[in-house]
Amino acid sequence: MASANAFTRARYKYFPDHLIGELLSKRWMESAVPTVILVGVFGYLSLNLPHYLSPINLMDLGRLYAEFGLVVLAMGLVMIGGGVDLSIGSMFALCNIAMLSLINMFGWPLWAAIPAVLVFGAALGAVNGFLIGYLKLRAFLTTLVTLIIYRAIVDIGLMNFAVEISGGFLESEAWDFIGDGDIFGIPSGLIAFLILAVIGHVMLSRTRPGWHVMAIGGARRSAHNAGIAVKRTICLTYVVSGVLTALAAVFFAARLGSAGSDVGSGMEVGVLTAAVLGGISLGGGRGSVAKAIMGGAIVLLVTNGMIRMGMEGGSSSLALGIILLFAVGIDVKWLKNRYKIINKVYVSPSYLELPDAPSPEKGSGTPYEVNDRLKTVTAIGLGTIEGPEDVILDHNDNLFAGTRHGDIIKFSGPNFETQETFAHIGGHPLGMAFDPDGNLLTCVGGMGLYGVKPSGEVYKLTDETNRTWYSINDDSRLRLADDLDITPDGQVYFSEATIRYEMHSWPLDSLEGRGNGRIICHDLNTNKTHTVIRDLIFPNGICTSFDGKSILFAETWGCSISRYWIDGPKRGKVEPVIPNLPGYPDNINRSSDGNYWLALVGMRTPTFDLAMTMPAFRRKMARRVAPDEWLFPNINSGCVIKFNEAGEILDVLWDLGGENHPMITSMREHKGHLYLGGISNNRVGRYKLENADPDWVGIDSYWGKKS
Amino acid sequence: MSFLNFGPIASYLGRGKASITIPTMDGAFRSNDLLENADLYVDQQGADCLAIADDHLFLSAGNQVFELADKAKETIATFDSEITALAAEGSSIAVGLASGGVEIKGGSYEGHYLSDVKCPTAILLQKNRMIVAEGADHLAPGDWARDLLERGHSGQIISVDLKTGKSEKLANGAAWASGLAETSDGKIIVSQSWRHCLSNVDDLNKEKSLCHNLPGYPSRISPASDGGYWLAIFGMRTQLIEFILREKQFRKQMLKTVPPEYWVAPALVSRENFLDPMQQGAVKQLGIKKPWAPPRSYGLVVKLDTDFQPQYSLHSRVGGLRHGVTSAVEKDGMLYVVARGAGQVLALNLSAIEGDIVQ
Repeated sequence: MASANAFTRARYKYFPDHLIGELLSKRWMESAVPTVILVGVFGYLSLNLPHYLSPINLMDLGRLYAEFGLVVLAMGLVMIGGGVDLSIGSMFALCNIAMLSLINMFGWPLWAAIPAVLVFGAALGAVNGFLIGYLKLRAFLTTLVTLIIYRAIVDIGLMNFAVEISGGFLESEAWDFIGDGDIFGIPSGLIAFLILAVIGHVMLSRTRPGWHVMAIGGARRSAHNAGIAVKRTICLTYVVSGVLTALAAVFFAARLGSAGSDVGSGMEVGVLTAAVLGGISLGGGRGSVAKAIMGGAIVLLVTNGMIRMGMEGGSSSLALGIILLFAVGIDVKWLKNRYKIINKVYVSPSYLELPDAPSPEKGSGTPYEVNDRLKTVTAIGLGTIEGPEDVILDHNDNLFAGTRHGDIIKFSGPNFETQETFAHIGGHPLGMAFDPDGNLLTCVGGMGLYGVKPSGEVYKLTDETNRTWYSINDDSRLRLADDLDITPDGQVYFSEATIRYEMHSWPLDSLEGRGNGRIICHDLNTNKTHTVIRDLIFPNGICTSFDGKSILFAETWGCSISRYWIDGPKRGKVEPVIPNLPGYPDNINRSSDGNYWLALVGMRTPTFDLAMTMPAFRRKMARRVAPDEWLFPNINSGCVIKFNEAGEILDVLWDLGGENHPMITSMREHKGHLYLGGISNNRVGRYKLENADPDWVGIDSYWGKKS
Repeated sequence: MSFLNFGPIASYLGRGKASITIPTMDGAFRSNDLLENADLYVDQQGADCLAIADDHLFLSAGNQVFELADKAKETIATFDSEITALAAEGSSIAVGLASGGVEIKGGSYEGHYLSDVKCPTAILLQKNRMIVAEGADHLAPGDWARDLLERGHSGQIISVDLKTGKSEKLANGAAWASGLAETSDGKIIVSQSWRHCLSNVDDLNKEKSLCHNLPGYPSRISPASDGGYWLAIFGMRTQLIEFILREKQFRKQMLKTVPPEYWVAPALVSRENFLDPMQQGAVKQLGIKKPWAPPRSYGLVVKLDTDFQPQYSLHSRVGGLRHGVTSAVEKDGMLYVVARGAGQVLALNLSAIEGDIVQ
């Protein structure tokens, strides 16, 4: 058994399960498969075809790719907007003929002919765009029809003017440059393509028109409701598609100067395959220029490679068809199941073996023995406050508590019967502390570190920290800031319980038991924020020691209290204070006699401790069992503990059965009373302390007596 | 893709036998608070099994048998060992004993029978015949949670001819047989807790059953005045327990290292002990444990029709007290229910219940 445990421990220590889910939830991961295919195809061809990597061959490929890539870009844009353009091949042929006839039949100069052809392409696209965008015809049928019509025009034109169209020969350096030229070995067409690709990428991902196209493809009705001009935008995607196709035709015309009837025929299948294979979804709304580039490259290499390897013409089409079928299948299935897969693999429990818990049971002789001293707790605001995770009091005996509605409620009066909303923040305020100027600083779940001025004005201190360069999830934004405390020199140390889950799904982190949390420091003087300690197991309560040289912090699932030195000879070091608690520690606060109060939100159960040593069991449970049915730490009854600097337990206050005050996440001593908060409670508890200093106020312990 | 429903693939995907779906509490199982709000008839710690004979109502609790009348109890017999099952016929009563065997007191067949039956869980006493259900062949009746977690199926049904004293095994391989009933045409019906079903004694191990896939663990059955039956359900199935029943390694470790009272298993009462296993949905919200939270214990009595199909049910939901129903009998228009978790016998007026259910 011991060796099996050692194996499990090592396996979960060194294999980063959690990265799989994080990788899969990244959008750019969808390009990973096409990239691998591309590298594979390219590698195979360069090994099997002679001179494949020679400059001349690469240059030829580049020219072919420029034309093909432009058309894939055109198709990609239309598809992202939720449509499809099958007429692309016919448009290409028509623009090719237009270009050739303008310069050969009519003798137009290039500077006039090229813009004219681009406008012509735009007009062809506008026909599609008008029919589909404004008249709301089906994209598939409409472009199928225009495919036939444009192709018919090509055939008629060729029947009557074939000789004239391709007969002439333009003597022009510019024309030759467009067809055969290069700059530093890069073909002219490819340069144009790359420039357009960059522009396209910026447009699509960084500008308003691009976002509009994305939005329409993703959800047409929502886009309409959001005020986007859906009809016009769709129409414009086809116009741009026409222009890009026309540009590709110009390069084609310049390169070959031929007006054969098979130009561009069947092109739409290759282009469609390229777009889908690259990862541009047929359903719209998903895709990027990079995906178009990737897909285009794969299809070009495959078709070109098959021809070069001497396969018959039909087999290339066959291969293309098979690839298209495959890509469409993946596209549909992936899109449908992506979230399911991420849901299944994201939660990745780790191995966490806690030492045997000291028993809190009666007669066990440990300092944690149960009692029912909290039976005398009285309730403040019973039924009128929801989720006061932490409570704090000021000099004037006003009590402040956060609620899950995103408010800070102020209770005042001798028995706290007056209740008013002190500030509305928007997120659930968790830990709280007063700064020297009397501002109330609070950690807001899902938002970050905020402050509230005595006037009730809310201001943001920080919602981000430095990003860890090697983390896959962006960990710069704060997801679950939990508790905070302030040191004498104005550093706010606060805990972020987990960087893998949001406020509403924190229970998932209990299943993981991994060091997902961190402690962050925000400097009130410079307003700079940086991460201090990483990889903590749900860090929660934070308290500055009385001498101001260290902070104490609790790790909830780790069931321990540690000290982090911020000053003195041990500066920067972490050392354990209470290594093995019988329950799950939450907030830590100062007591009037120079010690610390600690809330245990719940107690360790033998079965959950066992489950923590079986990561595979928990992962399966997370996949199979509904969240409400998960085995969970028992947080229905807990207790309050008092401990000293050395970590010795001095006192324990229990509410057995959680009748009076279920779930204690925080406690605050004030003038001889202890005030209790609980994150899922509907009350604030008040408990009369025996032998406590009846004049002690928490803020004074930090900032001195108020004069 | 039915091939995915078998073998290791099914186990990985959670399909087929690895599926942990449990029936929803709807239809006949639609919840109410009838049991939770029922009148208290008698308070008795350890109350377990009820029996009726000749207008007398008997209750077993601990090692005593009481007669109940007018909300009062009177001890009529005391035994050396804890009583695990009770039946009555005419002037005689039969009790199953935790020390083994069945003892009959009163009437012409007084004596000790079936000493090798370790775990008698239910008795059907007739004029000249007695049928005994045994939960498991190697465990005491109090160890039922272990039998569930070990996926035991070693119970049997034994018939004793009281005239000759000869016994005959009617069936074996039962997964915690814990309830017996006889139909009007003389068939013996057995409830098997771990298979969540009622079946004919001849078909115990077969797929076909009279009433299957119950949402909880059925135990004792008693006849109702309309020809139907009352079925006591002492614990509810939960997804978590169904899941753990399919997780061999976890179960093995838990049985080995965790004290029985803290196992992830159904219980007769929610003690609200902080060392008990908890499920996420049972976290108290705003001071209340929600009635729809996953149950550790629950109170449920099901009314079955003459074909053993559920008609309606009486509940004490999560957060309530009247949990762990081990027995329910009908007498003179009243239904008496043992909520073992609460140590109470409850009395419900049947005409009032039916009014509540029908509306």
